[in-house]
Amino acid sequence: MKKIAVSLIVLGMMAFGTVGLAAPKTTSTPVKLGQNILDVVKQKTGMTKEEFEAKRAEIKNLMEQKQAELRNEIQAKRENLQSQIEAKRTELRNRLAKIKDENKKQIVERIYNQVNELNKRMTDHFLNVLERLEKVLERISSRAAKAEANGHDVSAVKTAITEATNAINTAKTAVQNQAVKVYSVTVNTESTLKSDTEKIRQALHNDLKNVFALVRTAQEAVRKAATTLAQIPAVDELEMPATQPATTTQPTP
Amino acid sequence: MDQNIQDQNIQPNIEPKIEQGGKKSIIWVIVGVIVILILLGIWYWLAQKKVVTPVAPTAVPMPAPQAPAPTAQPSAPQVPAAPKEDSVSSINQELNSIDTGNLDQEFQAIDADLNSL
Repeated sequence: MKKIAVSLIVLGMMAFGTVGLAAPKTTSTPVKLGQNILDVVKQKTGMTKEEFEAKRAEIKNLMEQKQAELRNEIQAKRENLQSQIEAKRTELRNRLAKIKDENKKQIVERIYNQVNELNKRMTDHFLNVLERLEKVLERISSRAAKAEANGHDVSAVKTAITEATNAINTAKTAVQNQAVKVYSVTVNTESTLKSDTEKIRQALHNDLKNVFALVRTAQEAVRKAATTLAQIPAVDELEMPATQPATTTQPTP
Repeated sequence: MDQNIQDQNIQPNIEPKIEQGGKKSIIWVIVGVIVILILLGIWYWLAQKKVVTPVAPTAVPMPAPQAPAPTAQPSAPQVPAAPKEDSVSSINQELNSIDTGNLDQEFQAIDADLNSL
């Protein structure tokens, strides 16, 4: 009798084990830096809604982590530049000593401060814009991935996303370089004071204009990706399947 | 004395009965556990096998141009569902809210100072 009981237990365990082994295993590979959800979906076919959301959250975290790292890097460089800005201010004061008009001296020094402050403010602003564009692009990737999972052709959106990503990265590098620049006035004589001071204003303006153009290019690239995405019929209705589908079916238009 | 002899005669007959009853209950417990395991296995297998096919988007009927007919029963006010975070409308809304700024406007204060030099 005992033998029968033991045999039954073993049989039961084997049956349960076989069912467990036959069930598909969900292996998850970590998301790489710079990957978007479309790349992840491409790597793993038949991704469930839960897996998709988990991967998306992972990508978002990585993106935010990278953004924070860039900000910290810029901040650290700026702190190092602080002594350089101070040194140039002292140098400017020494050069301004030969100028008799006290009011003009103050204005030049104020412009020096304003120019460097404006550079900081604008590069921070551009960085904010680029971070927001990155987040929008992540949303576009998510929606495109859902469309792809439902059998739609998203090659045009993918191309637009890649272009936008490149544009954002180019603009980010430009902002990073611009953020650590220091502008100084080279005062010659009292008669050339205005033109000497105008030079740093113009230098900053030209530099910021170039960065601004890159930021606008990135914005337009993201807009293009959004417009391309919107061309997919009923794209907002598409979702990832709740569980792994046996076959992918294309929704009827 | 007779009673003692009678007890001794009965005892050997009771013990095997108790042993048999204990064995039976153990077997029932084991069978119960096996049945539960098998049922769990079947449930798990079915849960994994369950297929959810994507629902084809249904066309939303456009509202008729004429005024809606009055309803007999007062219905609850229709609250529009919030757009999904990655919906096209939400994406466009976010994109439109991103202001890259006006560079020349930012230079106004510097230009004013420069003009007073």
